[in-house]
Amino acid sequence: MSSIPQETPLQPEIRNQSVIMGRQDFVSVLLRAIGGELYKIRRRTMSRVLSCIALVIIIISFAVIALPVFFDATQNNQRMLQQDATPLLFPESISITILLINYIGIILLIILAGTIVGGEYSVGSIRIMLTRGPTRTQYFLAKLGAMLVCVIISVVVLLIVGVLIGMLFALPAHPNMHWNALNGSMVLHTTLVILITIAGLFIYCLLAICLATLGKTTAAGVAGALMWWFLEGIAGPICSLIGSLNQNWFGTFVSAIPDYFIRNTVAQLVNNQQAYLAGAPVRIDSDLRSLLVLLIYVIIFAGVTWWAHQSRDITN
Amino acid sequence: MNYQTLSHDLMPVISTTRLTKAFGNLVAVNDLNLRVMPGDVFGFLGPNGSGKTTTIRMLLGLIRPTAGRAILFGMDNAYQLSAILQRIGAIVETPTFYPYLSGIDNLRVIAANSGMVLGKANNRRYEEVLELVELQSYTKLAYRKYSLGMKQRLGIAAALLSDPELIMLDEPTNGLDPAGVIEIRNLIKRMSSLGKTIFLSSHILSEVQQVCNRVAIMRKGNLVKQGDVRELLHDKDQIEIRMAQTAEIDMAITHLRHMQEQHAPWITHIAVEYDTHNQAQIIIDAPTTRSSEVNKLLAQQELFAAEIRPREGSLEHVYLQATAIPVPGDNTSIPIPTEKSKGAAR
Repeated sequence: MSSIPQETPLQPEIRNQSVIMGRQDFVSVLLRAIGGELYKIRRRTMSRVLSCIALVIIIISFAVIALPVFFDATQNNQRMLQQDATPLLFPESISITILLINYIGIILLIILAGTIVGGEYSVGSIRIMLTRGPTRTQYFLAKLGAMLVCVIISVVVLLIVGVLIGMLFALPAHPNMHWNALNGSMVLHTTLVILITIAGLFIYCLLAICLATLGKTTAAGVAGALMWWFLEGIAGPICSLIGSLNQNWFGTFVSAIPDYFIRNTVAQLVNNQQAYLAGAPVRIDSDLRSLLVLLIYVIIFAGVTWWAHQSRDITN
Repeated sequence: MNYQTLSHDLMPVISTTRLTKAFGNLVAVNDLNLRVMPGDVFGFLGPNGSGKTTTIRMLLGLIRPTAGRAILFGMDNAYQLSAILQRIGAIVETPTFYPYLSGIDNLRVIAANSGMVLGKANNRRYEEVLELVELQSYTKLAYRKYSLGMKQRLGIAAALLSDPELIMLDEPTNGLDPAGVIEIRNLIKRMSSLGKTIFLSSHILSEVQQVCNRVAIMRKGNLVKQGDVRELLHDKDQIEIRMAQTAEIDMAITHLRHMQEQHAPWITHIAVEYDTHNQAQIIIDAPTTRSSEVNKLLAQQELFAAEIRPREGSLEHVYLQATAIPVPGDNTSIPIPTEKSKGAAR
């Protein structure tokens, strides 16, 4: 075989005029890939169904909370009416919505995350995606970017819906809305709580993406991440119980384990923000430790997923 | 080849050096040295499991080679894959798209990943490629509702979307009806006339023979033949001679052997074959232009051929020989030793 030319690549030919190419730098390619991912999600029936489920659950939950309000209104019990309507009002409605998001949002977003990654392998479309130009790193980052956008949109939309629905159901008790609680400190800490919630949801989605990539299926991502989330809920009390039964170094070690769970770490950060808002003392190292724990989760999940992408032969 | 590719004559579009892929103990592709020149319509042939798709996957970076390298457009795909892929449109095996998206939506997603701008800017291009593969009436139909032929055509549309220089098609006529096969053949010819380099993996040898100018034949991961289709078909010119009387065959062979040694060194090989009706015929390896001369020499010995004709080469014949699958007729071939070969044997 003759020598292989390496130094002088063939010059690209001019494309057809109807082909409009975009910029080819790393970020532009990545942003277009994220756009493509979001387009796929938007056109999926599944994402619409999941959005509807989330909205319906938020509405039903607030309706259930509002039942005593309606009852009090019919009984004309003003004292109870004011008291029962409090959770429906701003800013309590935000806390309730975030609580709901942390349950129903996690489940729905994990399903979405597992599907957008695992589906590529089960359908075989990964072959197309990896032979069009973007690198495997860009492909991986596009999935993460699209998922982050979905998490942000979901949290923001559900919060708005939650607050509005709460206000609507509280109308019998409070026909005139009061925004007295809305001040700089409240806005700051509420924003931080929302960001922490988004981070928590995103880490679970990242876990789903990681497991779906490793397992090359949607089921691996969805079932694995949901199982993780579910086991965190069970393992926490069990570890605490073992810790209380063993008053020694082992008991101390086991009872400390739940502090490093994603769910508890996020809850710790949220609680700290509420403590800041209430003026209660909070140790700053508690926030730093929690953020560090979450960062380590991100590095591990993203790192493993990236490594799997880089090293894998696509034989689907 | 058109004006666009003339300047690239000396640089191959695809060049592999000892490209090897092993899955554990199984060597799927072994020491592959391929060379595809600009403007080529390159047929990539081989039985199932011969390593064709693995090779295509390696060229596209889906699979990393165990050894060797692949250079496309003068760039090593181990280091500059992204730049290479932007110049390629490919179908790997059966095209798979997003079942919940329509044909045009699938193209939009692919465009976003092919370096093309998002939005409506490329709407004209989507229409063009869909029209080219005659799917313009089904743009809004969900992909899951497409027939196999429509899926193949959408795959080709996707491959052509960014107007790439190299088009790699892995079994593009799978699932197509005869009319669809002809359409794809015409499409390949049209793309070739536009100066595109086409790398076509196919089992349909007649198709490859009609559209390809160069071929490579794989067998069990090894490249067994590579070259110009015309040369491969004519590298072994043969003349078929059918005698009126079976008894004349031995006499004719004796005479031909004598001629080979005395007057006709251009006869390189003499054999007897039996056709499907068990009728014997003499096959001589000689330039087909010498048919009349052979006829004249036999007639001088009062041996009159009932039929004498040049044997036309077919890619099927070349393929079957290269892949060592018994060729119908060839398994009955009995080489007739010449005096020279007898001497050599002694």
